[in-house]
Amino acid sequence: MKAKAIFVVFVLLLISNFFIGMQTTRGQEQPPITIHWVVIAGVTKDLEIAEIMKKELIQIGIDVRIETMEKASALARTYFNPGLTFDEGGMDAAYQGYSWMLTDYVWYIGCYASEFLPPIGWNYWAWMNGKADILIKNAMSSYNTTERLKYLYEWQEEHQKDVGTIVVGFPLYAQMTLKEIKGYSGMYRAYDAGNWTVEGKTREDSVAVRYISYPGTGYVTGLLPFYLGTGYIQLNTMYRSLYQVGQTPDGKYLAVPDMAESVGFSEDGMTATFRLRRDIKWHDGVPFTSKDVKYTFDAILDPKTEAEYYGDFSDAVKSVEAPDDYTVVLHLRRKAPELTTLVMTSYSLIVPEHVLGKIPHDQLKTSDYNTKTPPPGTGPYKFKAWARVEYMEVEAFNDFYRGPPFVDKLVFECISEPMTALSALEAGDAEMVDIYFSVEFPDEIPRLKADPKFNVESVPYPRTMFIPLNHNHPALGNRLVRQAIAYLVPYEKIRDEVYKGMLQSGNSPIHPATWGWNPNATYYKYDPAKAKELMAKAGYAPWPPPEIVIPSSVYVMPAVAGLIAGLIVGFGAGYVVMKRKKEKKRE
Amino acid sequence: MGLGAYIIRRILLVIPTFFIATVIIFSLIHFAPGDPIKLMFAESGHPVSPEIVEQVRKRLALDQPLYVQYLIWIGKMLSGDLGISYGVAFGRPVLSLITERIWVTVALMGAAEAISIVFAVALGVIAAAKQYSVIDNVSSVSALIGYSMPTFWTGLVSIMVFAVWLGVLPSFGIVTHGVELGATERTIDFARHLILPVIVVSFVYTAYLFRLVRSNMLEVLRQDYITTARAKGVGERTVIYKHALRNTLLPTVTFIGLSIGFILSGAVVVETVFSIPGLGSLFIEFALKRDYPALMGLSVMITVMVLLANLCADIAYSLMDPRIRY
Repeated sequence: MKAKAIFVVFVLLLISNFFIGMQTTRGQEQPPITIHWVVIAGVTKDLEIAEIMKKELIQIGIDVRIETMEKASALARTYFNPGLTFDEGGMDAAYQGYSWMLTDYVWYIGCYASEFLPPIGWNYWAWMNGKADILIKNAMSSYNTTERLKYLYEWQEEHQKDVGTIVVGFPLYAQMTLKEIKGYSGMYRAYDAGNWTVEGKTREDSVAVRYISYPGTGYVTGLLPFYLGTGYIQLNTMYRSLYQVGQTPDGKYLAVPDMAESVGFSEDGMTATFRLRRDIKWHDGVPFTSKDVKYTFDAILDPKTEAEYYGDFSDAVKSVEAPDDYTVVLHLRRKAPELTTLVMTSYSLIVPEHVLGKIPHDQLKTSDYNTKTPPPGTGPYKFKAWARVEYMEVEAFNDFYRGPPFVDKLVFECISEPMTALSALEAGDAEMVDIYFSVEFPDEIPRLKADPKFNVESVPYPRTMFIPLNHNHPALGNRLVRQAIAYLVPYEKIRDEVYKGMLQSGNSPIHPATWGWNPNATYYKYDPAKAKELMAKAGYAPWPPPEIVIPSSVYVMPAVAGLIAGLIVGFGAGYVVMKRKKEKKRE
Repeated sequence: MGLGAYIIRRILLVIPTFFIATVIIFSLIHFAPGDPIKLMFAESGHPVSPEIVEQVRKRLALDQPLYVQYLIWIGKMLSGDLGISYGVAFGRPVLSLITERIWVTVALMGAAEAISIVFAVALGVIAAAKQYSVIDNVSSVSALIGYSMPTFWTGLVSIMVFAVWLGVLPSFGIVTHGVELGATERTIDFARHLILPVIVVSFVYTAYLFRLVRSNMLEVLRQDYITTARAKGVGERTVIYKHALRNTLLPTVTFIGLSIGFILSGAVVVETVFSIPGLGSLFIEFALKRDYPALMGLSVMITVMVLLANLCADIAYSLMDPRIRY
């Protein structure tokens, strides 16, 4: 009786396995997970990395479909359809980069929080992690540096563990100048032009330096800093802000006073008082006072101005007061420990009240000051000539409060084709090439380095290259799957082959050379075994499925193969592929 | 129908063609994916508040249905207002953006076109008249090379050779900035900047035109009336320059008329490679930013140029061949 029952169960098992077997052998062609990887047409690095990842991820049963599209469409998908998967009109995965401010990351890291979906924040990959959100909130509302660091460190660890994004690394940029140019730090672009000198020339000589900028970074669209687009390289030579970028002795970046002397926060942390320098003059000789600062900040805070900075600035600052000529008081909406960085950006460059004050805010954008001749600034250089995006000329302002600059004239030329920019440097038609170009032709860097005519140095730049994975994707929503993918990024291969060595590895979105970086956060290393283990843990069968090759004589009919497959599946081996062994024909 | 009536009819035909072209271009530009306002802000890589996005959208009338936008645009265009560019330079009228740059493209393309026509016609006629001679073989092979090579590549190589290695010509741009120059020096400087791009463009264009002239000439030379002329004892020079050339030029003129569009698309590449601030590089910039008014303005400009060139070609055609009346 018992034996009979066992036999019946066994037969039933065999029959059911037969069907399961047929089913599974048929469902074999498709890997269990499909993700659509968005690549911008014409960006070779994006495509190379997508192809590398396609090859790697198939190991764990993820089929990467590369979707090449134009920049506008890619932006619309990634940036403006937050959290949607590719099929819904968003993206599943991509390779992207963001540039940060050097001095305080907190403000940017805030954009990773759950509620910061675009266009206010950057979290279009929809990383929803309550713990990380609280850590960020705490870091953003504390004035105590040690406490902020603690929260930031924990946040980075959480980001790495939960794989909010996969940090691939930080590109190393190379500054390329003629050997004679000294004092150029690359990091600030032309921000420190007042410190540049030219070897073999004296202060009395008339010295001109030609600087090639890249459209993506040196593109002057409007002349007023409110609308500068990406033309901050040029505008930073003419205008100054309250704070500027400085470096600690151990090389970390922080905001240091520029036009301000100091800042103090009230007891409750909701009011900030800036004291201003008294020795500053505008290019037209009028002294700089708190009125100018109040005017600039008021204009940014007025939505009618349509200032690019309105969103970020009004998020932190409620109103501005100028109790006397050299004091500015900011009333805050929230605690803003990163305030010195907020007033340091190129968007918060101070413009003169005595020139612009009478123009209604909604006419600033179309006024001649934005489209033809900019108002005077307080920087080391004053405006001379401009031809829209392609070129700008500035000349030394000898009453600059940090002393007259050495270089008398700066000519900015905008070139979009990287090889043309390189030729211009080599042909002697330019003295400096923007650091941005170096990522466009990494193959040329060693040759330039060997050439004694040029000075080529790798500099860190706070740009994070990462793979955002859409957390709303049914498979990518699983932390284990994301971790598995993070273990399958061939970091060293990308560094050596795609970036030709010009990439620094990273263990958090924060650049190692900047304040707040956690050296102990988890580094992911290329480890396929670990990735496979994680996928098994996540409940996915191994991929590619184990192949069982059966000699022809056994492979009588598909049904038998299905039966065997069913047996194997029944015993828990997951998917299998049955292959019929072909016997070699004898000649 | 007389020649005058034909020309008038031909001119009138330009008007509906122009309007149909604007409708097509307008819808094509607006159907391309990508929101100009979002692109405007996303370009700065800077989070932006949604209220400002909506405010700008309303100001630019982009919240209106497409046909309303078209009617607004065409109404303005007919009164000579091409609108205001919104992606590139805030508040700049499109017309001034175009007129400020058009002379560069016209100078570049005009020079290239003139050089090409002279060389192509001269070489084409000689090559055909002396088929399989050394001059025919050399110019045919050069033409093959000329139109096989991408402008982009020839441009970069010419920069490397003439600017970097030999150092005789400037590597980019159209004028030298940052130096005070007199009127004569300014002209020489401008001409020096033009040399490389003009050679690069005319190389390709000459190759195309040369092949056309040569094959047409060969065909014409095989016609009966040429044999008749020769049989009458007309000299070889007269046969070629009077009887054959005139007939050869008919298809050539059509080709030149049609090639305005072709040569402008060449301008896009050459202007990018040589970093020349002309219409070509402007076009790329506008297209990437979805700057609708600017794109429309530029497209209208090009449409008008192509239509006019075709009109001129048709008229020239009818003048050269009295039989042609449509």
